[in-house]
Amino acid sequence: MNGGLALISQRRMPWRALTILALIVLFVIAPAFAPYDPMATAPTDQFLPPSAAHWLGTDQFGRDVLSRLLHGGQRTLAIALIAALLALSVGIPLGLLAAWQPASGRGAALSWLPSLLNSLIEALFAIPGLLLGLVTITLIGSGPLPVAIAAGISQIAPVARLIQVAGRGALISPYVEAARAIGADEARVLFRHALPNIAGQIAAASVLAFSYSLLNSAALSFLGLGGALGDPDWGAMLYDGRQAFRIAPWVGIAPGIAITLMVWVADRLGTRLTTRNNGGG
Amino acid sequence: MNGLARRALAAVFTLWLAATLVFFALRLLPGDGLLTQLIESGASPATIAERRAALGLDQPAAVQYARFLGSLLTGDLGSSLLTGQPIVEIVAQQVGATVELAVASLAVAVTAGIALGALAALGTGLVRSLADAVLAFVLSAPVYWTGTLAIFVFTAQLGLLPSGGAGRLSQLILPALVLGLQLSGGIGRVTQAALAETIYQPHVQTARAKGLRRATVFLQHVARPALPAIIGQIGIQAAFLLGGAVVTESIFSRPGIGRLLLDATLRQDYPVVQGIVIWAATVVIVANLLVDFTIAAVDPRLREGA
Repeated sequence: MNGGLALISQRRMPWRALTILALIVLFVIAPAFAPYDPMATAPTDQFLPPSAAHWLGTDQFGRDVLSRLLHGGQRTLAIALIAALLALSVGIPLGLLAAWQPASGRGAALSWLPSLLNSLIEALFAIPGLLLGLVTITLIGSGPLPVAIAAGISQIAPVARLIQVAGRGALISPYVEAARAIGADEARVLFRHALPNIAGQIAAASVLAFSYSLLNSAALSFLGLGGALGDPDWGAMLYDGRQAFRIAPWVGIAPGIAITLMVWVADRLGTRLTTRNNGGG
Repeated sequence: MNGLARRALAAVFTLWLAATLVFFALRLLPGDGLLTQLIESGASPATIAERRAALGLDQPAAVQYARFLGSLLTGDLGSSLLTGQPIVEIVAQQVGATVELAVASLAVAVTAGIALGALAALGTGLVRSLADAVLAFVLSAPVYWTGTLAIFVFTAQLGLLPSGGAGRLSQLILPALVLGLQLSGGIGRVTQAALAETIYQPHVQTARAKGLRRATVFLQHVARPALPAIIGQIGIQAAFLLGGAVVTESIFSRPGIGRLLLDATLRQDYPVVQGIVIWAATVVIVANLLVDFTIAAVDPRLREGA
């Protein structure tokens, strides 16, 4: 449970950091390698199969699939990151406050808060993620940003629950008792003592939130809720691919592989984080 | 048993909270937005006024909420904004296809998941790595990709199976396989973790040292303690499936709750969205409760500790 701070200084940390850094660099420089303009349409080149000129073929507007894939990574990543940030910025405080148990005499006026928040997390958790995403879309309409918000909202409860469980463990630790004994107020106990000590679980929750945000936002785009379909993003490309997969399967296969790979990498990073946290105790 | 009764009561409270959340979230829609939709759908002003009155939309929010809770207690989920059809009726029409897909894909998921998880935890060498890699793949590959791929291979190229629709058994095979294999990832990982944890327990060593048969050791001392975690995972997935497999139903052009929800979302028919979400939340909460009861039946420690 106390693996949080140690995590940052651990020897293998650089490898994970390097992997993430390498991925970010990859996404930043990828468009430079695009052989064509991802938006350039060429009606005569509609649905060309993969060839030397178009490595991954062309789509229904004759746009180069490889170029769209390389450009679309950034947009896809941005949507997933916005979603994950939203889920984390609401889910972490929610989970931590739900784990809070007011010490006797202090914060007693707020003692009803944690159980209310726990019920709230339970209620949100009872609604399947994609359904919650669709409710959000019903409310705010479709488009890239709404898709990001919808995917983010659907991950709030899973994040909050992970943090709640971790926080509950941290808050019964001797150092919390010690901090209270020397007169630290409850806000300080929560955010200066408990929060840094669950850094490992926060990292694991972040990876999880990112993976599911990526999968769910692409799912919403795939269902045709992503709005502006001209701009390249992998979910929108899957949507294009779905319309034409009988005659031109290459349009949808490439972005599908890209999403699978990215989730796989995130899953590997996340698995290492969790196993080490449990092992490092 | 006292603990389980308390759990049941908490479940009712959770359901009430979920329904309330959805009710007020969807009331954030500006009232005039509803009007525009009805006008766009070609309704006359008289029809609109009539529909609004029938739905109680001319009442203040508090009155609407009280009515909503009251009808929820009698099992009434309201009616569609666009067609006026009762939502219970609409859901009932679609639930058959969703249950069919849920049962079939869960059968695939449980079989493949437990097999892969067991191989990944108990296998050796190549078998173990292979099972682990397959689990990582099915967890990462989204249905909207594998589904399209499956239709391309088995329908477009090989011509073996129909790509969609519902009614015949052959139309169920592809969606059940695609969705089932994806869900086997979660069941597989839980099985793997649970078995890997129990296999090294001292009581397993003792059982072996006593000279018990390998099969007995495995079934009684390894598999049984791992069961609660696996049952829990299966229960959660069953519940999510009954809430509607939006993506799978769309790809394979199947009727079902998921498709219903997607259509309602696109048309902003919010009473239908609300009804389906409450249905899905009910299924999840009831399933969690059933899982708790089942686990308590399987694991005597929990019965006493409850």
